[in-house]
Amino acid sequence: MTSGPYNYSYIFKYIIIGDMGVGKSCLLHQFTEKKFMADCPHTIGVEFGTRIIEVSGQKIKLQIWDTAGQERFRAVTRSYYRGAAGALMVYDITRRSTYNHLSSWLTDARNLTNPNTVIFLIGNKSDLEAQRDVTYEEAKQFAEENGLLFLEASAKTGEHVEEAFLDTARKIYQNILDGSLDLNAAETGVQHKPSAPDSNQANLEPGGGKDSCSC
Amino acid sequence: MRKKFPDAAAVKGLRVHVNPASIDHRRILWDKFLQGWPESHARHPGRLRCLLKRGVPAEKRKDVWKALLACDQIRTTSSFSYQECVRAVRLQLVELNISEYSLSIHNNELWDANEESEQLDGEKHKPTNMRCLVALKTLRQIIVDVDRTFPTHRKFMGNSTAAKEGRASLFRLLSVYSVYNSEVGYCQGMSYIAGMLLMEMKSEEESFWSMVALFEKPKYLSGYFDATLQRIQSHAAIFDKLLQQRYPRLAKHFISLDVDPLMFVTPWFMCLFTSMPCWETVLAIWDLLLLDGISTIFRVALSILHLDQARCLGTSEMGQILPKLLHPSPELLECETFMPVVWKISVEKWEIESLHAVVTEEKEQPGSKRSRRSLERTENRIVKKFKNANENSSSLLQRMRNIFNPLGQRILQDASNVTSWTGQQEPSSSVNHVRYQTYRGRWAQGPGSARVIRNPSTRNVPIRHSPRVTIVTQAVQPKAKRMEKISVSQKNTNPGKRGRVQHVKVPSPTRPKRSGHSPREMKVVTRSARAQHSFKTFHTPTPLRKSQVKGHCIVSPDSSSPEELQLLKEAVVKDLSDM
Repeated sequence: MTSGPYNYSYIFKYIIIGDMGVGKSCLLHQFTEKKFMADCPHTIGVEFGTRIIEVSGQKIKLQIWDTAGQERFRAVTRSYYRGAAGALMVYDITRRSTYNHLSSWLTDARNLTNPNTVIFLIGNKSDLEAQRDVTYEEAKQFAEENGLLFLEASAKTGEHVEEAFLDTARKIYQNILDGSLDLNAAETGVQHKPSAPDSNQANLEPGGGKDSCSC
Repeated sequence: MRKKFPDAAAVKGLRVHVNPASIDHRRILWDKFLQGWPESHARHPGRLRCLLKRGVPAEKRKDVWKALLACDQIRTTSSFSYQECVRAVRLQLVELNISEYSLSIHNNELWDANEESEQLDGEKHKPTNMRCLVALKTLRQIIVDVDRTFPTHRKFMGNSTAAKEGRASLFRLLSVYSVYNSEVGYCQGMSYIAGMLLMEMKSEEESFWSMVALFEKPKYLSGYFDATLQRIQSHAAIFDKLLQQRYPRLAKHFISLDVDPLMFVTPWFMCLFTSMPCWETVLAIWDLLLLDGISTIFRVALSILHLDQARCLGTSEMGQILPKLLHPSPELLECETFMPVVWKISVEKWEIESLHAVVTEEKEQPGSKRSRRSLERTENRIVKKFKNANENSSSLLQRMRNIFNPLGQRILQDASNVTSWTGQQEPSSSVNHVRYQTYRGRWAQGPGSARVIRNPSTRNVPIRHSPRVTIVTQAVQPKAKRMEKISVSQKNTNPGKRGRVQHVKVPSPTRPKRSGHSPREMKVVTRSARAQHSFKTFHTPTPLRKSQVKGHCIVSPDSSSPEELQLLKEAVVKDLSDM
């Protein structure tokens, strides 16, 4: 967390969505802290996490919004979809209801983000093989039908957690390189941060200019 | 009055530092006060405040909370029986083949058995052989969250008997409440409040009635957990306004970093600060909350930002600000240093009401401050993008387009809005769509329903003196009726006095623009909520006043009688109910 020149060249905004108790916060915690949080309290509103990763030699800062899973919170969390470059849609492989609700989450993700947003489907709790309620194959098929990336992961063991976040970033970066994601367009969820030393100062200018507002 | 109360001298000296030896004395004071409840409170309302300021002894807290919430009253007047409902919920659990002591989200009985039926009919489906007292969906949500409420507190953590009992009673409390108020059912955030009450009230049934008082009384959280979560959103907007008035620099910094107060106040408000790291502080906050009601949450939130202001202003990224706001450090919330700040900061009930009116009004109006604010955020993003584009070596023309296109469109849009509000257009004028007159003096008299609009085209008109007031005297179409109502009530109270028109100080056009953004020039001040708020703010001796005087020049020097203020207040309330 240096406040000097940026030590990364891009910021990608992610959002994690899915039903209550599927392990969204645990996935985020596992990814940012590399630890499993057994006594994770449930999220009210949103939680926020960041981590700097490297993709093809480029340092990328991931800005991850973890949302509350209860349906009525969608009224509050919908505003966070706007301008997300990646959406991680999580279900719990031991509870079929969380899988059945994916279509409504997908509708939200498609409607409220831009067409270039990379959506990644994660089947969490893969360590609980004995209690599995949703097979890998059917979820894979669902992902393919809807053009989603898919992995089964475990926030507890950390299996495939890194991959899910990194693959999403790779896909976004690839979209930038092949030009399908235009950095100058509004609300792409991607910010390009030049690592020039004075860029940080420059960034403050718009705020400083408005200092004498009379409202 | 004071002489009648034997410990008045001691109570009077509350502001003096309390030494540990006086804890017993405090207890005695509380005992006496609670014995005489509620008469003691009715006779000496200030005394309770003094006692609370000094702190509530842990063993008295239960009684104090019970007295403040008046939960016994609700219990005796209600026809609802907690115990009966618990029995009914238990029956439902038996039929589902689960027990309140072994609740687990991996207990597939509950999930499997009804998955198909749920898919078919959603929540409405009620299997014939099952008593669906608590909707299955609600039941599942409660079960999922019971395990994750205060997961590190010994009352709810682990496999000890006490912890199992703790989780079971939390489950009962929440499911019975979902029966009590089936419209609200269960909402995340409730479980923290229920858990807190269980810890402090000890008895489960008393916790339930306290919960009902907290969730149902308008003084506290009524409407906070309903399906639309409307109230929390409006409270976040009100808080945003308070922040702009009290800490304008911080508010501006938040805008520049794209931080919306809704992001961090949601967990603060919805869990009533139970997620804060210092428990003593949480208890003190609750003491004050139960006394003063909802205004406390704004005071506490402002206090956190007050103490964290320097750090927030020193950061240049959302990623640095937000985590610290979502999880403030224990040092910041140390009870000894934090609570005095909360007591010092005041947020009055009328302020919240009038800001609520402002927020509601702005939501309805295009080109309102709220949308200007969101526009600022967009502008900010665009400026950032411009800097990025700079690095991407796109053409200068393209970059200029990026910046000016959205703004240009916005100006056009706003201009057309203004035109439509004023009802009729000036056929002869191509530049000034709005008929306006400029007044040279500071105060101007005008018809009661005058609407003051700072015209974007004013700066094209040669003006020699400043400050200027631009007044448009036409009736306003969408809300004209409502405006008139208020102005009539004002007229009646104070027929001969001036200052009924709102005044806006317009900076001289020759001066450099202060904001630097063209859409900001579209300043619309209405006679209703926003003006009323400014008016009331000016006439009320609160800390708000200073910043208001600096920021706004919307004042009326002559009409400050309390009756008129009362009338204005009523008008605003009426205004609200009309909407």
